[in-house]
Amino acid sequence: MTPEIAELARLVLERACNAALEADPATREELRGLAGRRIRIELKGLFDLDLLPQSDALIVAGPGPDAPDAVLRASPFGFLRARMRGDLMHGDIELTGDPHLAVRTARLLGGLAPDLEVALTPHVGMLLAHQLGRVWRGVNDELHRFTEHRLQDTADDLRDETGLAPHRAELEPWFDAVDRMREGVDALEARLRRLEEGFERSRMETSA
Amino acid sequence: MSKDSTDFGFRRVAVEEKAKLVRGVFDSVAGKYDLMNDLMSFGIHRLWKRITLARTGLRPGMRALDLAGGTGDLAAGMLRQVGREGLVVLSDINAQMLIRGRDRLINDGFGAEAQSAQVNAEMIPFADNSFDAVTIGFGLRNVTHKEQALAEMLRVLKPGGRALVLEFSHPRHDLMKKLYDLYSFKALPLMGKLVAGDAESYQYLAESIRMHPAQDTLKGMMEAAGFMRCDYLNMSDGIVALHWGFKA
Repeated sequence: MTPEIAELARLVLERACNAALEADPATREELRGLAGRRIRIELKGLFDLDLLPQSDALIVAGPGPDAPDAVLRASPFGFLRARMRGDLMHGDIELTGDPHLAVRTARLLGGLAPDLEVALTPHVGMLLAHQLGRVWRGVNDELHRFTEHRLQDTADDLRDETGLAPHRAELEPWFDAVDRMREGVDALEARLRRLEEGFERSRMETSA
Repeated sequence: MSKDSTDFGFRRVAVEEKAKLVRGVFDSVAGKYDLMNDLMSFGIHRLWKRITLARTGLRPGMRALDLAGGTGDLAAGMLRQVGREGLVVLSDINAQMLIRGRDRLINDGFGAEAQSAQVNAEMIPFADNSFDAVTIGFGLRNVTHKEQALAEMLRVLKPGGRALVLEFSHPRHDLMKKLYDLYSFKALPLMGKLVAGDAESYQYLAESIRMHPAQDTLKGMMEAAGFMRCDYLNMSDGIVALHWGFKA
């Protein structure tokens, strides 16, 4: 990929993120607190990009000679899966560098929903932007479905093929037993409390 | 070749004459400068400048100098990076270009953090160690004594600061060279004539690019001037290159 094409992709992403930030004052305000920091996102085997929060916008840049303050590293699929869950904090994303900054950025990105149609409209016109936006949303939905199915398939494999995870039906008696035990503990606690109160009352009567 | 002569495009002119001739070129094109940049580069110059801005390393509160700043594209980008508490000096040797750049920054809503000064890159009127970054975009090839300009850039940089030189350079592949020659010697002057009413200035542009040092030569010049960790990034197959170097 030439530097210009990569930069164009980053520009579209930047416009989409900033359009999303326009509609989300709380996130924009939080981003302002990160102004001047450099957060690198490494999509393993695909590309790296740096996020440079400014006081009023987010710049998406290519990695330069500067060391980042924090790095979020994941495979494209891992990043996508975390993004689909709306939570970049768990599982597939490796956070390094300034941990506080990495966590704040992951939280911000997890909650951001860029609108590609809005970002593209000034460049390619409303009609084409609308069509591209539809394609983008379609791809997004497909990926969402694919991710969910992939998770479902993985769960099925773990249950049915490898036997590493139990079926729901196998778990039900165990859940019931846990519920019964919790109720028994609650009842026992209430009985002990009543006994304590009775004991305390009789002790006071004796001393009086 | 006379020791007191220098190149102006493919012509040799007296050293003291070059600055005047370059000023004439930019006086002539100033009014249509942005439009011509968009037309000539198909808008790609905006991406080249974005890539440059991503490498300034500027943070809120820092200070930067934009030499040969023209209509202020790089300065505006750096002003967003340094914020209200920082400072960016937009400079150009050409008063017409500088006025346009200064007006653009005012129209963009920048305040006291945006300053402008008419500056010859060979004699920068600022104290040593004044700036965190110095940029020169599509300007170094017009400077008569490039080594002197690089030395001055180094002088005004703070230790750890960096210089970024964005400039036309030399395509890496033969096919691209041929296409580029055809485009720049035939199409550019025609475009200049039709849009800016000035074919000669765009003929000079094409010639001056050919006379500008190639990527590795410029990198060597930066190292010789005293910059550390010098490197460059080719863009559009080397039609444009971004060089950078740090002050120790």
